[in-house]
Amino acid sequence: MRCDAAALCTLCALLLCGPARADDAVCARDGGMPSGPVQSTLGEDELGLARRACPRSELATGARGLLVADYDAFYGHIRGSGFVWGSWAPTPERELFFTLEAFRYQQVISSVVADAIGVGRLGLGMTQRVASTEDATLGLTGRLVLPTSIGLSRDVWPFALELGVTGLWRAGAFDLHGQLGAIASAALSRGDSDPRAGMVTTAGAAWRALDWLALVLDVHLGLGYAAALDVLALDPGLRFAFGRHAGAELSATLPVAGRERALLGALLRFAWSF
Amino acid sequence: MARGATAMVCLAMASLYACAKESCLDGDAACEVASPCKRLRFECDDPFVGIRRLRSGDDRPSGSDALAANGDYVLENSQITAVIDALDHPHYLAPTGGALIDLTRRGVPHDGLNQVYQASGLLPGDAAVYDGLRTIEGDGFAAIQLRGHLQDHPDQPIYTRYEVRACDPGIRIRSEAINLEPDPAVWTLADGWYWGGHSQLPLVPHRGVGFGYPDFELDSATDAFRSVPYLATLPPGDGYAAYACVPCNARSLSGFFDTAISSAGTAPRVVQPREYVIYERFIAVAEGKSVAPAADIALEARRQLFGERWAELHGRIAFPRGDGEPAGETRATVRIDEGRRRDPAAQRTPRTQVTPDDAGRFSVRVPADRRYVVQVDAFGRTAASTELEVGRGRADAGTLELPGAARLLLRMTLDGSEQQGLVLVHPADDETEAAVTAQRFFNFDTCAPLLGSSLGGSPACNRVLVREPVSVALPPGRYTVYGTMGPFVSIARHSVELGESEQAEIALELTSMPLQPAGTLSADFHVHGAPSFDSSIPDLDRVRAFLASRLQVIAATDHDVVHDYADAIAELGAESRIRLMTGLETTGHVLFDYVPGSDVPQVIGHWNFWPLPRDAEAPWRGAPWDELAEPGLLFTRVEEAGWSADTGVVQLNHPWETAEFGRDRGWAYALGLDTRADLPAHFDGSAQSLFRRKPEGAHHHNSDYHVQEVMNGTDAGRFQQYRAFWFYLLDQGLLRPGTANSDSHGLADGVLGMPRTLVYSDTSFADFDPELFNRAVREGRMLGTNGPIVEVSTLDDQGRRRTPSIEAFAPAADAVLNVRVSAAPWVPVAEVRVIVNGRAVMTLRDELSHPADPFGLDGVLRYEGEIALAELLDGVRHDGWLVVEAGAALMPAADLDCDGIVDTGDNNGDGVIDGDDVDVEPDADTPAGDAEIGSSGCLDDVGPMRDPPRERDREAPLYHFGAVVPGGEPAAFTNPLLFDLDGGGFTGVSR
Repeated sequence: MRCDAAALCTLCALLLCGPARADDAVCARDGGMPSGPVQSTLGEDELGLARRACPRSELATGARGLLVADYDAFYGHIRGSGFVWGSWAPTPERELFFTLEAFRYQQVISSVVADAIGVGRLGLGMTQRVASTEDATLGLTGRLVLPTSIGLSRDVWPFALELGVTGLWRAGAFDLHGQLGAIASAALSRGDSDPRAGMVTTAGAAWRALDWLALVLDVHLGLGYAAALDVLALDPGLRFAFGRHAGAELSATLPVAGRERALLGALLRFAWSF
Repeated sequence: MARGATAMVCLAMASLYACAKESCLDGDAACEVASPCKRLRFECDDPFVGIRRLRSGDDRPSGSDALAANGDYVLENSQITAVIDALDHPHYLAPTGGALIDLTRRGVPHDGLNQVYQASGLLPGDAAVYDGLRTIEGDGFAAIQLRGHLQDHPDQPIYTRYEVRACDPGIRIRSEAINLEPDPAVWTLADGWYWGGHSQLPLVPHRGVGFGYPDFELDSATDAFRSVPYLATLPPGDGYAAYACVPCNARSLSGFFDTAISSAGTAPRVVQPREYVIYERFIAVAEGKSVAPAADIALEARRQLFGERWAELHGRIAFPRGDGEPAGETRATVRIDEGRRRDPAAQRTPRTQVTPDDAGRFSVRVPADRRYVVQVDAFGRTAASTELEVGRGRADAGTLELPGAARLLLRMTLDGSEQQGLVLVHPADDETEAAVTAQRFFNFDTCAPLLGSSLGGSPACNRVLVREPVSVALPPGRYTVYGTMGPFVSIARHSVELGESEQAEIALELTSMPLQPAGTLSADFHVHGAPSFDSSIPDLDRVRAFLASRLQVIAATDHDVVHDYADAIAELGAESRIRLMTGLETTGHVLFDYVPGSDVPQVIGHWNFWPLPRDAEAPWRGAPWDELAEPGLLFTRVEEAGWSADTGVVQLNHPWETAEFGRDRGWAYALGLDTRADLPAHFDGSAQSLFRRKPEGAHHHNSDYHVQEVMNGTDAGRFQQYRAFWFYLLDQGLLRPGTANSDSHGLADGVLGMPRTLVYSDTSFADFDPELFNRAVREGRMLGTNGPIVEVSTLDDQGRRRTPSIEAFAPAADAVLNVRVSAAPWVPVAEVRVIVNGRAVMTLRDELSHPADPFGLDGVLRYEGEIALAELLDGVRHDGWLVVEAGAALMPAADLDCDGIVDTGDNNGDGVIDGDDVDVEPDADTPAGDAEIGSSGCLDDVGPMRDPPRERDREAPLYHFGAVVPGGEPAAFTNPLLFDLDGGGFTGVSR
């Protein structure tokens, strides 16, 4: 936990130092087309989900799904969540954002079956661009997940913190994006608070095939959070732009190695950017 | 500013909340689990409370299900004694010790618990594995604390504290588990109550349930969950305690309920990562023959815990004059349901049950301020009822008048002197049958009439053990009363019509017949008594049943424990009448992965071992732990426990038996063997080759057993399957002699000694030498029968007489097969089959004689003749084997799943056995004819085998046989004659 606090202080210090010179070309918006890494993820609370480097003001809604079917362990897990995302870019270099898991439905299947429904957790964060060129930009991003879930966890209030460096390099119709970060979580609980920390990295590319269509493929790697290799996953996605403001993403996360038991994560997200 | 202050306060409160750690949930190694059920307080004069570890010679709880062994832990106060098994003494379903295995009122020998262990679900990996134990003593309490984790989840720690406080009429338990895995889990943190199937009967106070539990399979278990304020049990009979369980930290406990196992704990729910679950409960023990003594404690506990009021409800049962008391549970028992009389049972909530005292009075506690139906059952059927409102005071249900019962005075003699025998009472007409057919509280055997609990001692179901005159009450009607003493004695029959309060005296006079072949001893190698987890017959009645069967040698093979029935044998003075070898039936409970390609973990089925030394103070009474081992390793463990692989016997039991509750019962079936293919001599990674594998660390191969059951009980369909597997092994050259055993668990299932094995041994009953006897068993010098006696012999090429065994020989060139079939007149023999290399080469029907009077003594010899061996062995060139069977014709059956073993009968009666017969329950009254085998391809789901139709003609010979061998048809088989025709030794038969 001490390490997490130090990292938070470092991020704050960088942010207080003021923005680096931003070049609007690299972050110029392509209408409503979503940008940055694929937004599908397997983890709860978007923990480890890479963030775009270019700030924008946006309101979005959508749904995520997760499917775990571990036949050997006689275990299944289905999770469906409805989200509201919002971001505000007060300057071209800075973005404040929130993620609210407005509801979550889970069914866990083993020898007995049970389900849970409730409000998920609220994440608050900020991204600050710290360096830019005509073709590339680099930012720091951080997010705090607040223990706001109601009806999902009893007597336990989990929270999480995430810090990372996110980047974008734009070359014509191609965007290369990536993030390197650290995640940590624990819980306020009368039981074991079970602090965990790990490293996550995402790298990928988006190809704007048409004005209204982009294809994106990311590789996501998680280390040390629940196992030495948490997950190595491929994140393919389709992105759509509907005019100047509206966009959508349909994406998935497909684990290929690691401790992760999920077969599939999926996302459908609609956004309106201002 | 105000917002900031609010935030600070919230943060401080959250920090305080998080800092005040709950019990052991933070994983502190020195933690102490919080004391459970703090609001409970009981009073008594003696505040003694203590904890001790059992050592040799120490007092320990006793009773039929007592398992306490040296090294186990005893928690006790002035009221009760509880035993927690040591970590290295696990029992039954628990992978480690730390379970509650005995619980009695102090000093009362009535333990009726098999096991109460902790789990978070139904899978083997959900069970608690404990690896740490500490004792805690304090002011007015003693406790044991266990630390561990869920079996397949090292990151899901679990802690359990057992605590006894002064004056408690039970034990307090707190379990707490936390999910430190990154994935959500689904938990019902619960106790698994392992009843075993023929023991305690849980009463579930839930609308429409009571003793009528919903059926479920593993994939539908959640649907069977019910939430109840308490669980209370009905003991199986005299000498057993009643138990109740009350949740302390929640208003209800949730679980599924069954006669084999119940789960009672927290409701199933998703447990998110870092979440924890705590379950506190109080398990009470009471003395008595009903649910009420335990349920009464449960209601008092709920009053203290939750402020729920209870009221006392009392009443009286009036028995007609001349009814001939004393009463008992079967004669009159009172069930009390919340609801109205006009409500169907599905809308009432059963609350308790009580058996009135000898004067007919009863008094129970029930939740206050509700309306109740009080109904009296007599002989398993409702005989009277009333309805009343119960407030907060004492409520009087008044007097309930019972119709009169009839009474039979039974006497039994053999050759003119009183001998132990078995009487079976059957309805003499359909009207009586319809009027008296009943079950004990909707469970266990269906009996007509129900004379007593089918789980306990005599009378049980419709059977009575008789030596001196015995009086039994029964419902009025017309009855036929049969007396039997085994296959070498005549049977007697009397008919009687009895009205209310009428009595009749019946003397059943039986005569012994010289049917048992000279030089044989009559044996049953598979019998159970109350020490088995699935039996509740008292030892005395078990031994009386030994005597009634007129068996000479018994292998006592209780599940997982060694028992010798010595006290009961001594009390009955039976030492000179039976030869008992202590043995064991190992019974896999803990599932594990050992079958290549299997989707589910399994166990290795059941195996009998004898003789085995008994140690009354040791875990499992001298048996080894029999879990998580392939057969070869199991043989090694039993050998280390004192069984001799050189002079003892290990028997493969019911080899082609299906699984029960996910636990395989037959080794061959568990492997899913394909008997159309050869058995590999060496392990090649396949399930088929596992049969002969030598497991790591074992001194024996899995196939190094000595004999297998060809007949187990009276099920005709299973006989076909077991013999088919036996024939397969003979074909493979894997020579394992066949035995026939009853597998009797009580008085109401298979009749003890039917079937039995007749062993030609070099020892006698008078000078019984177990080693000589068991040598003959291992050599296969025996035949199996439930009535017919089949004696065969031939000559070898040296002119010596040869009888069945696994010793091969070359037959004389002109040898004949001498066949002699005899049977008591009450045993109909329809055909004699000569089987060579798995094929019936000759079936004799018309040549057989049939006795005129089934109740007489004449007509014992059914067939005697010579058959040219050359005729029978026509076409056999190298090796051959020959078995002779006698009895009823086999029911048509087919192998629809293509494994070489028949599995399905003509269940829909259309004359063709195909997929349309699968999962069809045949009508027992429909005559069965020949059937063709249809073309369904190979099916995944098959069965059932079809049982022979029930004989409805009450004068038919087969009816009389079924009257004394319920569910059976006459059957007998010889062990093989092995022919070494090519002089190269018997190596099997080319398939």
